[in-house]
Amino acid sequence: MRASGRMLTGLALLLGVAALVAAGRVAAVGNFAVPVTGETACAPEDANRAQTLLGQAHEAESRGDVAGALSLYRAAVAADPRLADRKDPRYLGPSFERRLNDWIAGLKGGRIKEKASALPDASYLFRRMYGGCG
Amino acid sequence: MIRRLFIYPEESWALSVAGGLFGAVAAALVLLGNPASTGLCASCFLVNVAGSIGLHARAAQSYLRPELLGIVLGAFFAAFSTREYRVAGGASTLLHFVGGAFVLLGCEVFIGCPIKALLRTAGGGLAGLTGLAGLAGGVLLAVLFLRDGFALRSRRTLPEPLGFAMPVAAFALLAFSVYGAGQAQPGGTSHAPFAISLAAGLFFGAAGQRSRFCITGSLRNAALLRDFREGAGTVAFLAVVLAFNLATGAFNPTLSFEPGAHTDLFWAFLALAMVGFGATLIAGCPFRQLIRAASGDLDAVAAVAGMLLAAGLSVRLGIGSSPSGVTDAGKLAVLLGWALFLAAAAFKRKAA
Repeated sequence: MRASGRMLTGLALLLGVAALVAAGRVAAVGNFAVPVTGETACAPEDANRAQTLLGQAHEAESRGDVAGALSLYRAAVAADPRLADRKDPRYLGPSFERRLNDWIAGLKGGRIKEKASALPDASYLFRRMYGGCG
Repeated sequence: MIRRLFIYPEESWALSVAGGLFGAVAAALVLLGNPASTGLCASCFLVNVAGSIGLHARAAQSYLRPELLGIVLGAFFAAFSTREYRVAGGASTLLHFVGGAFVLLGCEVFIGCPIKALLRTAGGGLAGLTGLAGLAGGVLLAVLFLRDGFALRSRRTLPEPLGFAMPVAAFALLAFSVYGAGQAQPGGTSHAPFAISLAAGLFFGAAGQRSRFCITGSLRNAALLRDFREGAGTVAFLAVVLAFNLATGAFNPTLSFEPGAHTDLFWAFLALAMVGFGATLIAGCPFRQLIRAASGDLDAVAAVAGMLLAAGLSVRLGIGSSPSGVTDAGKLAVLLGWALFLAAAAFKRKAA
């Protein structure tokens, strides 16, 4: 084998060992609990928690606390992803979509303060509602 | 002209037309109901089909995708009618099976196959662009090993009836879905109308078989052989979808607002780099493996079987990413995929 061939073998082995070491570290410290949420259906306790969070989000929204509402909507969707699934009967609905897009425009345009905390929650909800593999 | 365009498209202009048509049809499917950037995504379609046949139980990702069944049938008919249908196998079948599985898992960590990386990039997604850069990096690294003698075992001719397994399975599943059993469930996937999706799939399959449309293949040929003809098809695909998105207002340069994506650029890069590296070693990304499998390549059938199994495991074990981010199981799958492919690259080379 040529010198370049030996170098390539060495490179492959070096990278392969590095990948295995990193995999070992991930395996040792990672969280491998398979989330029930997002499977066949979400666990009943998660669905109940999501409904509670939704109620709190509505309250925060009616107080005009957009950042608080977005944080609670995000937590609700994380607990029960079906809330962000347009085809599911539990979907938050087109009126929520309109409000979310309005909030995003307000946060980007500076009309709504608390951009630093609220924009990540808004973008999470946006990414969750559109696209994906299904 | 027709012959050079549709039957034997080998020149750059013909492959560009094919790539452009691929892009137009993929964009149209999104307009008609498929999820954003998912007009053509072999890995997403495999996950949907895996769900529909019970390999996982997430309703939102379960649908017997007519596009995928159409791809298999279209490629089979194209190969058969042009006498390119040849049944062969035995070229490291186990590596195809395991490698196919890891390629699929890499796609699921990125959220999409190499074709979807192009579609996401054409929509302005920064994570999509990062994945595309990773894919190119992985292919270029693999080309170093190809130049240095990496080769799978030689294929041998096998009895012709063995090759009918894939098209017959696709036809049976299609018949199954026509009678309603495989239709999307309530709360299931977003999708374009059934007949249109099927027609699009037949087109993708037939045109893909004739034009050899493949993102990783076009990068490999450009780097390895200085042959840019297939690359012209890839560029045309990107250009058409980009133009379509600009015209419809769907182009939005963004990281945090990319539909259905996560924002972890490091893992988007590393996952698609693994896909590019591995797919180059086993001679095709998920879409190309489907086409090869339908054309009688039994090693590709093994790769498709591995991908289908991995598609189910990806959902069941929480390997696939979501807009929440990349899971630890997903990171582990990408790293193990790298270890597998690097070991294959190191040890499956003939002395130069």
